[in-house]
Amino acid sequence: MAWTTDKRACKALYFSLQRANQIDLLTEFSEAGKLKMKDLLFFNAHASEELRRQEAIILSFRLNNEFVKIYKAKFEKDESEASAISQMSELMQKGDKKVEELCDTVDACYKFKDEQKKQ
Amino acid sequence: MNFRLLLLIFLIAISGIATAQNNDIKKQLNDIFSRIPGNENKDSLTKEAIREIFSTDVLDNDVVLKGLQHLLSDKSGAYNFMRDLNFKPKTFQTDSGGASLGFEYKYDNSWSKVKKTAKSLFIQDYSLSFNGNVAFKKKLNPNNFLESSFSYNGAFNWGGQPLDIDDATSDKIEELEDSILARRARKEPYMDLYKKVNSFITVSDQFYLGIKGKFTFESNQDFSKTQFAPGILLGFGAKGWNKNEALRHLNILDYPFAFIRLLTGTDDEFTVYGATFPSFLFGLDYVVPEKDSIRKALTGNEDPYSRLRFEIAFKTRVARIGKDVFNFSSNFRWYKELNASDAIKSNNLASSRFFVAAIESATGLFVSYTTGKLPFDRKNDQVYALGFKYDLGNTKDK
Repeated sequence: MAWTTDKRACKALYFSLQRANQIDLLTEFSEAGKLKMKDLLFFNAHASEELRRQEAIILSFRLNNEFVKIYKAKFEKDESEASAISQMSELMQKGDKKVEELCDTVDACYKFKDEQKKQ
Repeated sequence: MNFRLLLLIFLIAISGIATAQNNDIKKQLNDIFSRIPGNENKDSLTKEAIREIFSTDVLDNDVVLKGLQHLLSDKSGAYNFMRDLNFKPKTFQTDSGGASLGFEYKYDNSWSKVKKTAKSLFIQDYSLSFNGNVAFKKKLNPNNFLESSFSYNGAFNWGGQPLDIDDATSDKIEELEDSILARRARKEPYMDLYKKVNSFITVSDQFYLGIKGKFTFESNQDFSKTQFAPGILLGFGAKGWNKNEALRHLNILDYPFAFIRLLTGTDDEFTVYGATFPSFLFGLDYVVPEKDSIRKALTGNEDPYSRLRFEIAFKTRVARIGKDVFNFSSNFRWYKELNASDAIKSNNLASSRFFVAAIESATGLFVSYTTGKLPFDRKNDQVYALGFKYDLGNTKDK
């Protein structure tokens, strides 16, 4: 899936990351997709893997809460809160993964309103 | 459990008999078709006949089929245990020429459990693993090592919840966000829309408690030598998401950076980030030295030892200059060996401290400072660095 403004999953991730101070408000949508996990504020390349894992889980919890409560996203078939948080935090621990790749994971776990309407 | 093992052995035996019977049927069919005058397609007719016979529903009563279906549909603990157990009979051969029969076993499994309340979520993972090699003549076992381990990961998360909003407000937020993107594309002012969106959203402060434990029991096959290797880590994290709560104002490490962000115009007002509240880790490691020549020279052995550790990490934004965003990240670690020998203490190897601080941009510019030593270093070093990093596609983190 491309990083595009046509998908609510991408837009929800972009604005949720801005609200969580991970990317600043001046970062354009098109630039945000190319940013790597190590460029976001939760990822400290100098910390131990355990501490990075902890930070990734904390942010995954928050993102999950935003998707479900603010964007009213549902879970895809066979996905749950725990599996979504686990998949997001797994990817977020890899410094070279891009925001657009995180968006692929988000899209695979959640069904946002634009997808719910199609059914 | 014993019944299931017997059933499995019985099914394997029946399968062997069934295979032998199939060969017998094939031979007889071949014989029948070869008697038909002028028939040169006896092989294909035989195959077709066998396919026809074994596709009928009559065979649904077959004991093998029924038994296998029963095993596959059984979700009991005993079946699950057997499914995840790998058992391999093998021969152990040594250089001296001796040989022994034996087996290798391996079992890995993990379980997850989630407990959710209105304000918290608790995710737990348990992992169990056994592996080893057992030779019936233990002297001939070149891999005389059994390992059993249990690990536990628990992540308790409290807060980080947006206040409930209705569907109409959710639609309104999405509408405003679409307008922000449209205005940004047209290079029009959009900050007022961000303020409108934020007026609908309040996220509570978030707290995290993580527990990670690993307990390993190692032994040789007759348990004459055993070793218990525990390790435990406790992690604490907090995020002051709520502007109206005091937590974010306790993030004193971010104050100088909030001031720099204000001076450089990165932020419109003096804003301490709740997202950058530092995270902590406390732990007890069980260290098994490997090829540690210094330790061996000092103590005469490479015996395992226990070590305490503490770590704190902090990362925040410094400034945006043009298209470049500069972040500050730092990490402090402290290690202390428990019950260290005098030789280890007198050589300053019993404890160590390490600190690193760096300012880096996404484009690769960086300046860094490190001081102290990690556990394997003997000397304290202070290193300043200034440079440019370029990612040549190192796949380590991918």
